[in-house]
Amino acid sequence: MPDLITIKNLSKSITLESGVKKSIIKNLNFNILLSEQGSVSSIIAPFGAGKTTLLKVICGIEKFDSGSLEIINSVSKNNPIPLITETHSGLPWLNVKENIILPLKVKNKKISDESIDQIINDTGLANYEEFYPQNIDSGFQFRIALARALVISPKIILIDDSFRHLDIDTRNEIYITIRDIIRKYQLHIILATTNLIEAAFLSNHIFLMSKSPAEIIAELENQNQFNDVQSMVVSNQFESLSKKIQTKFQEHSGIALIHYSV
Amino acid sequence: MFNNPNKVKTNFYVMILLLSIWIILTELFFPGTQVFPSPSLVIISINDLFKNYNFLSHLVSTVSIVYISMIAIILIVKAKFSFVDFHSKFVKYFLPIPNFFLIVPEIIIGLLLIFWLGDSYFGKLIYAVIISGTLVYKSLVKFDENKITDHIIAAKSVGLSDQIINRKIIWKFIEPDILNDFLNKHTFFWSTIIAFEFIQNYNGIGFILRQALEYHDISLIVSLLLLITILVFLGDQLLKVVRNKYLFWN
Repeated sequence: MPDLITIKNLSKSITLESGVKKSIIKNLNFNILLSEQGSVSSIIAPFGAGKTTLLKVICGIEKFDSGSLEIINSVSKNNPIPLITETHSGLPWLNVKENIILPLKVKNKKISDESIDQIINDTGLANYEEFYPQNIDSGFQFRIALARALVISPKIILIDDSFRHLDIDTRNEIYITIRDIIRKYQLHIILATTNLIEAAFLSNHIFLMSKSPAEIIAELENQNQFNDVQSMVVSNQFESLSKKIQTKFQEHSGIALIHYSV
Repeated sequence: MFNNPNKVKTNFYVMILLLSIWIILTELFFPGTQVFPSPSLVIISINDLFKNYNFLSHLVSTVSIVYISMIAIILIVKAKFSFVDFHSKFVKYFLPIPNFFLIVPEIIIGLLLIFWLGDSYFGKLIYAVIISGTLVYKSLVKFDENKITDHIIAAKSVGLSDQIINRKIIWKFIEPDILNDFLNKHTFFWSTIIAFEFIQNYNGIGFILRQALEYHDISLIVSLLLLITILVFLGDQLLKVVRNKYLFWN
């Protein structure tokens, strides 16, 4: 199976307002394999570790200083990798449907109405097409961002800690939606998160990333698949996985990461 | 549209009360006073304004300058200017300059310009464009770019160009702020244009005001001020309708 993404010795620094250069990512190495059924790879790291910067580099918004980044069907204007940000609100002057088709409309691209309706249904936005984002709750805001990403038919979607502000019930519903969508669209999602539970529930691969300057400290396979979050968190598999992750973080940087919320 | 109905009601009753006091005092008790003309004299003066002072043509001159300059500056800035560049390059590296413009009132800049520009429609237009440009500039400097950062990232990641992001996303967020700032300064903007016409003795409502002052025609001045108040009020309402209809998300 070929690699979906290969990152080798990637480094990225930023210049602070004081003029001092700060290293955000240092010699980062990892690769994600292409899977026919789609997959979720989570990058778990503490706050401020450089997760967002890494995702911006992957989708091509930010340049890196050194190293290499190879992506299957490499990113271009015609083949972008959508990034769903932490505060993923829709544009307030467009209704749900207009928000979703915006990337197509501004580029004069067309997909069939059936495909758009299908995406709206699959993301749980049916009957909300005419609503404005400010009139619906933040769970639906995420669904809009997800649908807007899906209309450009990407192979990869990046999610940047987007569930942090959602309540637990909404979050759990969205996890299920994401799982269904991955299967249906054979999507690969790269999820940057601080939350062990969502990483454990959604992911096939988990990468543990250190504090800034970021580097990968461990890579774990996660074969466990549960039907709901509640049954996962009381399982032995989850306990063992979470212990493993906590130990890795403790060993590397002496931090006890991750918030647990069910 | 968003006004508190109780406040509107109270304002209406206060207006009626003041109007009644004016009518009773000037029509019944002091009909010939030079301090404040009676309503009947004001009505005659309004008639006079249209008949002898060519009020409509002066009104068109003032009104067109007020609104054309505002629309012109928004269109120019929107077409030629990138908000991201403005904030990342200009505001970040030349911070004292935006601060200077934020501190110095537009009226100072306006008064300096009055003497540099000639008494022509073009001069008046340039003057109004610079004043409204200062207003737009202040709105841009004040605009909180954190409000749009995530939208820009999301838009870039789905492959939208910087130009499209600037036009279709960033400007949409800025426009309500510009209109709100313009609404707040609406009366002031009218005043500066009238002041220009008054000082330059050039076509417009300010020109009639100067003539009325030269002839010590108090009733004409009062009728003029009354009409200006009504026009500014109507302009205010019109701008609010535009805001609520086309910039409703604010």
